[in-house]
Amino acid sequence: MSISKSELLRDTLDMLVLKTLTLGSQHGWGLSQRIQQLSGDVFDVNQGSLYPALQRLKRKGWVTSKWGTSENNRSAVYYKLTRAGVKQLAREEVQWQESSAAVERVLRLALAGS
Amino acid sequence: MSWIHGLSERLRALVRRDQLERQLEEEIRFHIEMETERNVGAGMTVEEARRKAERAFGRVEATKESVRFERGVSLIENLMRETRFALRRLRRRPTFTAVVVLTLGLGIGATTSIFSVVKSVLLDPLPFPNAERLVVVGHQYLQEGEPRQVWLTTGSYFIYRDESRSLSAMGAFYGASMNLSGDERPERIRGSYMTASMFSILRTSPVMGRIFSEEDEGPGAEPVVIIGHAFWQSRFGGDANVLGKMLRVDNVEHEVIGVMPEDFRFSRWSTVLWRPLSLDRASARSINYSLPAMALLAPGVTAEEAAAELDALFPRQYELFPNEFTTAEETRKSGMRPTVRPLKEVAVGGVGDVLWVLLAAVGVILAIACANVANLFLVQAEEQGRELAMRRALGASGGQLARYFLVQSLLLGLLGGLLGVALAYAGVGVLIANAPPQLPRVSEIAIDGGVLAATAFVSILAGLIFGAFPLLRVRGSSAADALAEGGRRATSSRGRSRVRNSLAVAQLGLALVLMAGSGLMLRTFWNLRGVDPGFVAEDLFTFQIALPNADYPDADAMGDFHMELVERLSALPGVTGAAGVWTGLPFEDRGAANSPESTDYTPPGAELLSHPMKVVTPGYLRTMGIPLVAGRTLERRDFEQGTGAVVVSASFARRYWPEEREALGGRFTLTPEGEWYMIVGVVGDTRDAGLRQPPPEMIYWAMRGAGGEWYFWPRTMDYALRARGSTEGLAAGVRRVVGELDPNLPVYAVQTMDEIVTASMASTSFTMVLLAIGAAMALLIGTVGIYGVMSYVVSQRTREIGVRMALGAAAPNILKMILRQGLVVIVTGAILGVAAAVAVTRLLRALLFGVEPVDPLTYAGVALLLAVVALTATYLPARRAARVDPIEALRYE
Repeated sequence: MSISKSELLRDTLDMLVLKTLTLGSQHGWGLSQRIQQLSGDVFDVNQGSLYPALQRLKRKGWVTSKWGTSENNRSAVYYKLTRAGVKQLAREEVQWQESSAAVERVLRLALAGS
Repeated sequence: MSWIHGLSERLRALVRRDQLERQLEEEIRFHIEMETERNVGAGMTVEEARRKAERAFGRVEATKESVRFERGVSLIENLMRETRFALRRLRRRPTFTAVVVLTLGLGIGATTSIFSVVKSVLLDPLPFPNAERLVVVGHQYLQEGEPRQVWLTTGSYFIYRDESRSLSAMGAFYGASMNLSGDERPERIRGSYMTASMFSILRTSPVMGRIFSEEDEGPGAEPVVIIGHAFWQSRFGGDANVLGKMLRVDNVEHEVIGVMPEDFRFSRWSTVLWRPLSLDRASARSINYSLPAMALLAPGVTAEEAAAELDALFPRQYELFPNEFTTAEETRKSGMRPTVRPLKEVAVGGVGDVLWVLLAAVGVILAIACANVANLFLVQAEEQGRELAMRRALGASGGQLARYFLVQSLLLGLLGGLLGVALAYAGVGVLIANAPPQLPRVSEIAIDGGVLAATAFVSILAGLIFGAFPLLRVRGSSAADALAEGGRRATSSRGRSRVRNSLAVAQLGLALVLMAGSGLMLRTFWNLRGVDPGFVAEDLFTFQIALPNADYPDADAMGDFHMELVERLSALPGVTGAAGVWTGLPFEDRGAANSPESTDYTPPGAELLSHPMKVVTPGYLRTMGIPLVAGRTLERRDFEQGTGAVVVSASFARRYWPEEREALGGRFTLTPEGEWYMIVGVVGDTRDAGLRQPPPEMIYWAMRGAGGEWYFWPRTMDYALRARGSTEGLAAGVRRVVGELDPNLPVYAVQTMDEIVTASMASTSFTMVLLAIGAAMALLIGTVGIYGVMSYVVSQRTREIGVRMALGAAAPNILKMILRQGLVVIVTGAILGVAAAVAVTRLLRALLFGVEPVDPLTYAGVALLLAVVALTATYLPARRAARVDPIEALRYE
C-alpha cells in the first residue's frame, strides 16, 4: 500500500481520535487532553490538526457533533462516535496491526542483516 | 454509505456557511478558555495563562482554513466567490458587458432560430413511426427532356400492391376540396380520400371510433367519414357522442365513424376529414396516371430495389387491364417508368437550398459576432493587465488566473446564450408566422431539447475560447514588464494590434459577403417585380366555386351553371368584366395540358408536343387584360354552338410559324377520329407558370367541343372579376349572386390577383428579407468592431499625437492620419470580402433571377456602402484624436 507521510500521520490521528471517543463523547479540548494523558504524554496533539481531523471524521459520518454544556457550565461542541465510526475503528485497528507488524518484520530483518 | 453522508454534509456546508463559521469560532474560543483556566489552575496569572494558551493553540487562521478545507466544498466555494466577483466586475463596466452580451445574444439567437428551422424541416425524421420506410410511389416520364412526375393508374396500383414483394403494404389517397353544408353557411374545406390500408401504413388510428372497413370501400356503401381532431373541437365542441352524427359533405349525408388523434398531420394542408377511397379491381384501368399512392418498403429493401422491381411489373397492367389508346411499349417510349421516393424527400425536397443558404448566412453572423467579442476581450485584458500582473506577483497560481478569466467569460457566454435563446423563441415565432407556403412542416418547427443543448454548448464553448484568448496573451508577458511604468506599452503590443486589425478585417470581409448575397436577392426580387405578367393584375378579384356531383351530375348542368353565373356577375355594379377559367388562374395553374394527335401545320410523323391548356368562359381574355395580337378572341357563339374554335398564345404561334399571324387557320385534332379544332386568334403571352418561367405555349379552349358536346367537365372553376371596390363588398356581392343560383354553394379562396402574385414570390421575398436582416446585422456588428478597434488605436497613440501636435502638426493632418489607418483595414476587408463573395455566391445561383452571382454592379454598390459606413465609424475616433489637447496628452499615462 502506498500512502504519503502526511496521509499516514493523518490516518493515525483519525484512529486515535476514534479510539479516544470510545471512552465517551467529549469536546475538542477534552479530546486533546485525553489523548495526551492516554498516550503517556508522548502525543501532544497539534490543535491545527485536531479540529480539521474532527471535521473530516464528521464528513465521513464516523462522528457526530452536538452542542452541549461543559463541566463548568459553558456551551461547547461535543463529538460522539457513530456506529459506522465503531466499525471504521475496528477496520483501522486491524490495519494498524498489519502495518506495524510489517514494519517490525522489516526492522528485525534489517537488524538481523546488519 | 459514507459518501452519501459526505454529500449531505457538503450540502450543509454550502448552505449553512455562516452558521458553521460561528460554530468554529465558538469552539476555538472555548478551547482556548479551557486551556487558560487550566493554566490559571497551575498557578499563572490570567494574562500569562491566556498568552500561553493562545501560543499553545497555534495559528488560529490556519486551523480555520484547514477545517474549512475539510468541509470538502472549497472548490465550489471558490467558484462561487469568483463568480460573485466577476459579476461585480461586469456591473462596474456596463458598456462592455452590454455590448458583449448583446453581440453574442444576436449571433446566437439568429443561429439558433435558423438552426431550429433547418433541424425541424430538413433533419428531423417525419413524425410517423415508420418514417424511414415510407415511400411515395408514382411514375415519371420525359417531356422535352425534362422529367415530369405523375401518379399511378388504378391498374398499376392493383398490380404493384398485389404482385410486388418489395412493398409490404400500399395505399392510395388524394386530397380534395369539399363542400360542407347544412345548417351553417356552406363552407369549403380540405378533405382527403384514403384507402383503409393507409392507416396501417402510417401506423395511426382514430382516438375514437374506427377506421374504414371493407364494406365502407365497397360499392353502394353507406357514406362514412372520419373527422380531424381540430374539426371535432370546432364543429362539434368536442362532443363525446359525436360518433353516429351526420355531416353533409358535397350535399350527401355522411356518418361520422371516427375522430383522428390531435397530432396527426399528413399533408401540408390541414385536412379536416377523411373519406374512404374505393378502388374496384373490376374497373381498374391502365390509363390516367392520376392516383397518388404511398407504400411501406419491405424490411431490408431499398427504394431503388423497389423501383427496379416495379419497373419489371410495369407492363402487367397493360396485360390485365388493356386500354384502347396505348400499349406498354408506346407508353415506354415517352420514358415512362415507376418511381419510388422516400416520403421525406418528397415532402421536403426543394426547400433544402434556401435553408442551407440561410444557415450559412447566420453562421457568418455568429463568426462576426465572435470576432467582435474576442476583440473586446483582448482590449479589456490589456486594460486589466496591471491588476493581473499584481495578482501574479502576489502569488496567484496559473489555475487561479485561469479561473479569473474563465469565470468571467463563461458568465458572459451564458448570459449571451440566454439572451440568444430568448431572441430565438421570438425569432422562430416570427418565422413561423411569416413562412412562405412553400415551406413544408411549418407546424413541426420548434426549439426542442436538442437545439437548446446545442445552444448551451456553443455558449459555453464561446465563453471558454474568449477566456483563453487573453489568458494566452497575458501569460506571454512577464509580471515585471506589466507592472513597470507605462507597462501598457509593452513591446508585444504590435503583435496584439495585428491580431485586432485582422479580426476587424475579417469582420468587414464577412459582412461584405452577406451584403453581396443580400444585394443579389434584392435585385432578384426587383427583377421579378418588373416582369410583365402578360395580363393586368390590378383590380382583379378572384374566387373559386366547386359544383358537387350530386347536384350537377353532368357536363350540361355544370356548363349551364358557369355560363349563367358569368352573365350575372358581369351585371354586378362596378364590374367591368367577369370570366371563369377551369385550369387555374395565372400562378396557380393546375398544369393541365394535352397534345394534339395530328395537325395540318406540322410535317407528318413529327413528334407532337403537349401544350398547356386553358379552358375559359366567354370574356376571359378581355377580363384579364390579355392583348389580342391577331385574329379574334373566343366569342359567345363558340361557347353556345361549340364551333371548335381555339385561341393560342403568341409563343405557341412562334413555335410553328415564322409570323404569329400565320397561325390563324391552323387545325389539329386531339384523338384519331375526333373533331378538328381551328386556331381563330393569337393573344399575347402570359407568365402563367410563374414570373420566373418562360411564358407557356398555351391553347385557350371554350368549354364546349366542336361537336356541341361539353368536352371538359368543369367541376371546379376559378373566377376573375375586374372591378374597383373593397374585397368585402365584392365578396358580399358575389356570394349574393351565387346564392341566387344555388344557396348551398360556398364561395371560397377569395383573394385579389395582387395577392396571388405576391404569394408566388413568397419564397423569394422570404429569403430576401432574411438575408437583408442578416446583412444589416453583420454590417452593424462589423461597424461596431471597427469603431472599437480605431478607438483603441487612438487611445494608444494619444501620447504620440500629443507630441506631434506640440511639434506643430495641425488637427486636419491628425485626422487624416487616423482615417488613413482605418482606411487600410476597410479596404483590406473589402477586397477579401469581394473575393470570398465571388467564391460563395455561386451557391445562390438557383435562387437568382435576372442577375448573375458575380454581378459587378451589385458588388460595387455593396462595397461602397460598406466603405462609407465603416469610414463613418472610423471618423468619430479620428475626430477625437484631432481634438486631443497636447498638454493633457503628454500628461496622460
